[in-house]
Amino acid sequence: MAEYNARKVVSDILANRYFTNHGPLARALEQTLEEHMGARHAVLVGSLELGLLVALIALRTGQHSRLVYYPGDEDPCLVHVGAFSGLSVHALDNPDSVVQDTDVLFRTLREERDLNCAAVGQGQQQLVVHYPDWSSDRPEQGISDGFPEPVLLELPTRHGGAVLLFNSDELAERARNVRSSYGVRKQVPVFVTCNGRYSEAQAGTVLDYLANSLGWS
Amino acid sequence: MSSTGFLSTSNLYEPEKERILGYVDQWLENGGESRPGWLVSLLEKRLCEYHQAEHCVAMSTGFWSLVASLRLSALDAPEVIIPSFTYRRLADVVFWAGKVPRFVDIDESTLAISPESVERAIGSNTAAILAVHPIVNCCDVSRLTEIAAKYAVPMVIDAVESVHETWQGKRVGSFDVPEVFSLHASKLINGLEGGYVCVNDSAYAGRLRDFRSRDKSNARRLKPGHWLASDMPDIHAAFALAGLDEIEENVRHNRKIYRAYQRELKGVAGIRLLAFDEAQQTSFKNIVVEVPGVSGEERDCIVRNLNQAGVLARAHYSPPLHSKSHEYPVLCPEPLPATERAARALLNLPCGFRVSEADVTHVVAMIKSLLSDVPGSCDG
Repeated sequence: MAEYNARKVVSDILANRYFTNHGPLARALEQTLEEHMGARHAVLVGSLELGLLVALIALRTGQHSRLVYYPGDEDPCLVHVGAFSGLSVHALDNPDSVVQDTDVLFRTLREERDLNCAAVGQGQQQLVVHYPDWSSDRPEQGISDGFPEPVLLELPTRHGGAVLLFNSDELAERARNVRSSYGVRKQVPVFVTCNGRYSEAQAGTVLDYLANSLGWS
Repeated sequence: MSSTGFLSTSNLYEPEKERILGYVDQWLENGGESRPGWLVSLLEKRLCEYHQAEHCVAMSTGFWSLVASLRLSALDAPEVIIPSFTYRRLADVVFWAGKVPRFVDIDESTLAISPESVERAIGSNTAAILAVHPIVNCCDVSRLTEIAAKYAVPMVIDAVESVHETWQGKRVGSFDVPEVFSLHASKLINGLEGGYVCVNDSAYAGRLRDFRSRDKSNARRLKPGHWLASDMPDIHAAFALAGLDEIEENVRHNRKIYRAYQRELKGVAGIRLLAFDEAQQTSFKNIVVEVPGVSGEERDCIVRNLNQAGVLARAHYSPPLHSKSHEYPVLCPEPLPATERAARALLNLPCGFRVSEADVTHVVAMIKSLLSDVPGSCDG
C-alpha cells in the first residue's frame, strides 16, 4: 500500500482553504505529472474507471460503436464501462479484426516500464491503460510524440485516482470539459459530462507519496 | 468581504482542524489504509442517526450516487421523469443511468417538480421518477410518493440541497425511497467530495455497496452497468464527520445570514427573498431572490455586474434543462410555462460560511443600485 502522511494532507488543504475541486494541490500534481511523464497535458480523474468513461466520451466520434480488446487485456470493468457509454464490448480473435472507424481498442500495460513499447497500431483509436509499479525508483520513461493517446495511468495511494495523459491540446480540453467545469481552461462542447472530479485530498496524498517515496517535486 | 476577495454561493463550511485531525488519528490508530473504509463506516452510521434512516451508503460523489440509485431502481423502460428547472447536470445523470430524461414542469409556488406534471407524464415508457428538492424548502414528497405507488413506478429523490430539512415533520432521508445527498464542499456538509444514499431497504443498500465496491469479483458477477468502483476516501469522511459534529453551528451561521438578507431586503421594491418554511427544520443555506420586474436579459446583466464586482451571484437554474441543446436524446412533449417564468426571474445570492452580515449589506446595496438603474447598468 502506497504510504502518505494523512495529517499533512489535511493540514495542507486547510492551509490553502481551497475545498472544492481542482485547487492548488490538483494543479500542482498535474504539473508534476506533465513534467515527469513528458506529456503536454495531465488531466486528473477521480478513479481509473471514471478515467475510462471520460476518455471514451472525449474520443467519441459518433461512429464508435464497439470497445474491443485482445484476450490478454480482458478486464471485468469493461462490460460496465461499455454499458455506461453505450458501446458493445468484444474480445478480438486477432489483431486484423479491429475495425478502424467503429472500434476503440482497449489495451493494458502492466509490467512494461517503457510506455513507448505500446506505440503500435498507429491510426487506430486506442485507449491504453497503464498500471505502473510505483514502488520502483522510476516507474516510467514518459511518453513521446506519436504515442496513442490518451494513456490512462493509475496513480499511487488507494484513492489516488488516475490521470489521462495527452499531447493533443484539443483532446485534453475535451476531457477536462467531460470531467466537470472545475479545471476547464476553455469551454468546448462535449457529448455529455460525467463528474470525474478529483479532490484536493486525492491530490495531496499522491503528491506526498511522489515527493517522499520517489523524490518527485 | 471574504478573505478570497469573492463572495460565492457555495457553503464552504470549514470544520475545526483539530476535529478533522482527531478523526484522522482514530483512523490511523485503527490501521489507516490497511483498513480502508473504517472512517467511511463511522460516517455512514452517524448519517443514519442524523437522517433517521435504516441504511446509508457513502460513495465517491453525489452525481454517481444518483446514477447508481437510478440504475438499481429503474424499470425496464426508456424514460426517467425529471424537472427541467434543476441542477444543470441532472440530464447527464439520466444519460449515465442508461435512460432518456423526460422534462416536466414545476409548481410555481414551490419551484419544485409538479406532482400533476409528473402524473401526466407517467406512461408505459416510464422507468422512474427522479424527484428533486429545490434549494429552498422541499418537493411534495407525500403526493409524489402516492403517484409513484399508484402507477408502480420507482422514485429516487435528489435531496442534495435538503440535508437538514424535514418534510411535514419527518426527516429528509427517512422516506422509504432512495434519497441521494452530496458531500461536496459547496454543500451543507463539507466532505470535500462525496455523496451518499439513504434507504430503508437492506437488500437495496447491499446492491449499492456492491455497485461502489472495488472488488473486481463484483464487477464479474453484476449486471453490466451495475458496477463502478466509487467508494469514498477516508480523508473525505474525516472532513464530513467533523462537519456533521458542527452542523448546528453551520446552520446557526446560515440562519444569521438569512436574517440579514431579510432585514436588508425588507421594503426594497422589485425584489423578493424566497422564504424558508420555518415550521419545518431547515438549513437556511441557500439565498434565492426573485426580481419580477426585470426581463431575463436584465436579470443576467445584473448577475454580470455583480460578478465583475466579486459578488458571484448566479442566475438560478438558468437556462432550464429543456431549453439547452443535448447531444443525446431528451424528451419534452409539453410546454413548461412555470419553468420558463422561474428561469427568467430568480437569482442565487452569496451565502455560506465565508459570508458575513456586513457582506450581505454590501451585496444588497449593490443590487438596489443595479435595480434602480437597470437599463443604464446593462449598457454595453
